Amino acid sequence: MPALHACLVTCNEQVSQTVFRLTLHAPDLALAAAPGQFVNIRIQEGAVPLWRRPLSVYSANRDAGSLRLLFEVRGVGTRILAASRPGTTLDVLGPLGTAFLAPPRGALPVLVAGGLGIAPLHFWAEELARAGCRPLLLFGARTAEALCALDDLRRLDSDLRLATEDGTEGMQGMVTELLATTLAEQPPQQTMVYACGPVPMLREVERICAARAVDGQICLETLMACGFGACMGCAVAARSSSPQPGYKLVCKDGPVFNFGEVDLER
Amino acid sequence: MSADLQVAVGPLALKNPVLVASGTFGYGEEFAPYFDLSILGGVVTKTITLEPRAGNPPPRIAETTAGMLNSIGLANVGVEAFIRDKLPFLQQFSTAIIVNVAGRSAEEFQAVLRRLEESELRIDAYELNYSCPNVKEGGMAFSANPHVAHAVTSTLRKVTTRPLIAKLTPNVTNIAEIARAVAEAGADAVSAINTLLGMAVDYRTRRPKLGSIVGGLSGPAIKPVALAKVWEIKKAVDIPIIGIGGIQSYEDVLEFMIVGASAVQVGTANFVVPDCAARIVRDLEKYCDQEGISRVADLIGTLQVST
Ligand SMILES: Cc1cc2nc3c(=O)[nH]c(=O)nc-3n(C[C@H](O)[C@H](O)[C@H](O)COP(=O)(O)OP(=O)(O)OC[C@H]3O[C@@H](n4cnc5c(N)ncnc54)[C@H](O)[C@@H]3O)c2cc1C
Ligand SMILES: Cc1cc2nc3c(=O)[nH]c(=O)nc-3n(C[C@H](O)[C@H](O)[C@H](O)COP(=O)(O)O)c2cc1C
Ligand code: FES
Repeated sequence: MPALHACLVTCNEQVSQTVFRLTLHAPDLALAAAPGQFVNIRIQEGAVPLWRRPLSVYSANRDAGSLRLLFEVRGVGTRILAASRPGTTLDVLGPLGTAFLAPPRGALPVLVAGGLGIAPLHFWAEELARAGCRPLLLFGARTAEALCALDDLRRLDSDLRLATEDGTEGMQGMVTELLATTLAEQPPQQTMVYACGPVPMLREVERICAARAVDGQICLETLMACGFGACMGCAVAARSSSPQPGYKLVCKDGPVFNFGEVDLER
Repeated sequence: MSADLQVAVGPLALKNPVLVASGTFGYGEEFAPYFDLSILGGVVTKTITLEPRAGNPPPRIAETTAGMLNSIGLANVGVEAFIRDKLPFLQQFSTAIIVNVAGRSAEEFQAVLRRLEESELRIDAYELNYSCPNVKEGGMAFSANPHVAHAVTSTLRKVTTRPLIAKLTPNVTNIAEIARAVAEAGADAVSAINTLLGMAVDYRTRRPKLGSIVGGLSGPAIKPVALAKVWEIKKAVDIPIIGIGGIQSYEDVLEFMIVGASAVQVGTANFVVPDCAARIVRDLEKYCDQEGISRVADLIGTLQVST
């Protein structure tokens, strides 16, 4: 059940030019949150910025009662968040949204992250590793600098493969090319793909997987005013055969959707 | 001593003046995790139409300075599913249930109301959404023209004896004239205001931020406009007014009541602080106790204006 939490910032590290990793003391959230879910943070009191800002759960440590978030500075809200010091209390709403579905027994989970799309997938990889289900983690970005939080990823019990568009780290090219070669080595029914990143990447992931009849899930982002299904602002077109579009709410029906559930072309 | 927060909106008795606004509180269920809905004076449900509506194409929302724009487009489950799936949930709370309805024509409005009247479930009042700026087929037309507003209200008056509240748009030259028309036609109260027509643009892409280009502005940014509209209406008609626009604290409630509102609705603030309306009720009670205000209703229309 989502709830409002007053969370103490215990650490806020800069991991690249524009990316920060924030640790919160949040025992209830750490217990309740599942990979794929997000929290919605009130940046500060007052009316500017008005909306909360949604961020995926990047990591949860139930024993320590801590929750970590990984975010990029994009604008007014994340800039203020980047400046929040240990000792600050944040008003956090969560956990919100749907979680990733466990892979079928015996199937290899293949996680595909583009840029900041790594945030929810890191938590998922953590959980899968904890369950003894060593994931294959494909991570791509424009340059090496944008492959953030590699320190955490390298500590995970996973098979990590990297790609950069400029070739400064790992394979040169798109993470979707890594996916295509990886799937070629794998029997489709023994694979389950999970992807998070920009929409063009997700479209390509769904296309590659459809060609090989591989099933999976994607994690989406939209602007959100509430984050819990009240405003209907976060609608995305649902895939359907009727000419009239129907919509799904990313905050409530998602952010994790099955392949084919939403229409990524619209 | 505990302050008496009860107010009357015409025939509608409320345990306190704090309601939640249509379209900003879902069907109530979405807020149940955050507080006991029974603390509210009332819940106004999302606008219901005869048929289900998917709503407008995204993007449907944009953040603005101290406000937001929306072009949700009256997305709703339709009256049948509303009665079957949504209305029963609200019955368990001891708070007024106000069902907000709309139609593309007077006939459609009537059909929605008739269907609701057939239901055995508790409904305490209807709010008539004459004012949504997001529906191409009309919506605003009902409260942009006093003759149309009068005609539609008269038709609906014949369908029900339950309290009728006409919700007005600020996007007209003379809101008082519309208020007068609906009052004459038998509306028990008016609510003011719905959203203001607005627009947001991305200078880099040179594109509008909303899929439907323009949308409705709400939130703290519109509070001064809303107060002015309530004041205008107060001077023109005798029926009670429910004030809406940018309310996010008990101080805001007091301002609206002093200007002439008998009750208020909290809208956009529900998105930011899901238990905002409940906090406002508690804060209002505390304030009245501290200040020795025994009846909050005594504050209504007490604005001091030097002549
Ligand atoms: C479910 C969900 C999970 C998310 N998880 C993460 C995460 O783990 N890490 C992370 O860095 N970001 C994440 N985001 C995106 C994050 O919410 C936005 O970057 C943030 O809200 C921007 O706020 P701002 O005030 O800094 O930017 P603003 O000043 O509001 O806007 C600046 C620019 O940022 C972009 N932007 C704003 N809001 C969003 C948004 N919701 N999604 C995408 N772009 C946006 C727009 O291009 C905008 O023009 C997530 C979004 C959602 C919906
Ligand atoms: C996302 C959103 C959806 C809304 N939907 C409706 C609606 O369906 N029917 C209606 O009468 N008003 C609707 N409104 C208007 C509100 O009920 C209210 O009149 C307006 O937002 C002003 O109040 P506020 O500034 O407190 O939000 C909506 C407002 C918002 C922000
Ligand atoms: S963000 Fe409000 S409904 Fe999804």
